[in-house]
Amino acid sequence: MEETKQLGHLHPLTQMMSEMSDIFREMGFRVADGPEKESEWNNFDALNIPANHPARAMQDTFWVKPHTAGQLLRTHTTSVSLRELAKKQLPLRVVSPGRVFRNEATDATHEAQFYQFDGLAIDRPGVISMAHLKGVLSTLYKRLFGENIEMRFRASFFPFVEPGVEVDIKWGDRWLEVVGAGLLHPNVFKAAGIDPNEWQGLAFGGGVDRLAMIKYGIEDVRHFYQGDTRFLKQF
Amino acid sequence: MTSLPGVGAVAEALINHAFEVEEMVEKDGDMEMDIKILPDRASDAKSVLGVAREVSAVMNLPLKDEYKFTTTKESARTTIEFSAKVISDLVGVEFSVEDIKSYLSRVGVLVEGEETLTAHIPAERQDLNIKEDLADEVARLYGYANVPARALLAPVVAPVDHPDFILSNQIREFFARGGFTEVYGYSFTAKGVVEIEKPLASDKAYLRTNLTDWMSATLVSNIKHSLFPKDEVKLFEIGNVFVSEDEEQKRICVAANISLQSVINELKQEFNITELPEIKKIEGGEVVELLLSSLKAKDGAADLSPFIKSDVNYKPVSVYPRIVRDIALFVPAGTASSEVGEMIKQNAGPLLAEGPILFDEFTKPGEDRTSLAYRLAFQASDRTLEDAEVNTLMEKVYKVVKERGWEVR
Repeated sequence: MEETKQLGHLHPLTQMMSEMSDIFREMGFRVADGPEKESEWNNFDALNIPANHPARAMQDTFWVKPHTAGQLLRTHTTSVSLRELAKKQLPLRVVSPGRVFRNEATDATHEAQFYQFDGLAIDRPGVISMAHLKGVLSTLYKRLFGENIEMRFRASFFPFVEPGVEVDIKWGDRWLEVVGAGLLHPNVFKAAGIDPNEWQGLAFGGGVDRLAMIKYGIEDVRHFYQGDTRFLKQF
Repeated sequence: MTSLPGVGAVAEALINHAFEVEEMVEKDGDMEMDIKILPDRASDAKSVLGVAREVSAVMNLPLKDEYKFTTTKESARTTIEFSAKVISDLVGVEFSVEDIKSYLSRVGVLVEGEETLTAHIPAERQDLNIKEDLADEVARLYGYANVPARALLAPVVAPVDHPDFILSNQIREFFARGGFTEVYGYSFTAKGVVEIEKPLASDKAYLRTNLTDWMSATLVSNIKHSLFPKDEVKLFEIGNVFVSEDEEQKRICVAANISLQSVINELKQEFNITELPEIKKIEGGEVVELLLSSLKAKDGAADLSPFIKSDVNYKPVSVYPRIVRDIALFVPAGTASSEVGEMIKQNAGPLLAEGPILFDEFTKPGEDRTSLAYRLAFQASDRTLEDAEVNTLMEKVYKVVKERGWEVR
């Protein structure tokens, strides 16, 4: 007969975010939280993405009606990092896992809702740099995918960081982009009311769904949001 | 004239130090690269000459004078005051003044001075305006592969997570221990209070105001694909709902095809809920929805480790229908049902999608044999199975079972 007390299952994305939070907690990061419906300021302007900036077009946004109210569904949890920064309790180390939204047609690799894991560490110049960013992210991916995982840090551009990089991990014979990162842009410090000459920091953000798909070999991102126990009970 | 390095080396240098090479296609005996120019470089690099200039910079190759960006104090678009220490602090690598002058000269930036440095920016480089932009240039030309990985300073105080995160994980542990499966629903619905400006579809034009609606439908769809009508389906979700223009709430929702009374009583005790939420009858079972804030966190962090799986052998759920078969057999009393189940599983072939699940077991008083009954489901990932095909698979199972000396009923 079936066992009377069978254990249940946590969603694979819960598992992934829990593992990531544990790894970051060991590095001194705490988990932050913030709203899914955000202000235009916290999601864009304060992150050095003013109106008409091309980066706004890169992130197809769900605006809440009426548009003039300046409310939207956050396109990244960098908005939570910004909220934490604006509390001006420095130094600071936070990670923000959470649901984000992009207005794009759904298919096997795109969902209008997905999860992001954003991180921010602020300290004095001299003790935090691109080398530390590399250290933090190397620790993460080695812990998630094994000590021998190959990584590469490539030059890139995001408005809220400078310098900016993208990080790929090698999976099979392919390089897969997993995170965008860099040093927090001085304009973001200024928007939060902090002097960028006094403080310096690293920031990063990447998709959780994508990491889980890589880790387990999941072929379709939509499975995460269909509530089908035949899928969920495999985890 | 210097000859260009191989196409592979050029692509690699561009990828690591400048731009992504999206594709390389052979064309008329030559290689054509599709290069994604970063948005901040749209004004100077979005041309064949722009890319050539970039290849020269990242590979430190000579470029004809007429193609170079050059700057003099007079022609500079702007100047940036900085120091070698600032660049070193940003990148995390000790650069000398000579290093910095050399790297920046490759992109046409003239640097003057010994202690306090002044960078003269060529007119074409609209993206270089602050010292961090110069650090970006130095770091990428130096190469991130050469930047060491350093650990952050050891934390002074132990980090404390957001209370909602701590409480949510305690609730997850509670339900997972109770045999519930966690689901994530959609934030978009057909009706609500907060409306989306350009929705993906008319049934996704609002943000959800509750978790119950989707959860109820999900309970029914999961009951439908249960192998037995009596199979327990137990689900929970923790998620945000949007109840008014300016109120976003965190909620918990639980649904099952069994009575929820006892699990809700336990939840009430464990998390100090003052008012017991209403248990609603729905098609197929019951549902409860409550505010996260109506629960009080326990001391200490949740232990989710029993539910974090590392050895998942994931198989996609097939969209094609399955064929269900039962097998009943007599085995000598005392034979472990798990041994029989394993034997069936080993011989049912790769199309076995679920089971064998033991659903009946009895020994008549005075008899030395036991009757066992198992249910199996067959399913293919790429087509609808035929009855005849499954019959053949079952024949093989029967044969092996008989050879083992067990009697198929």
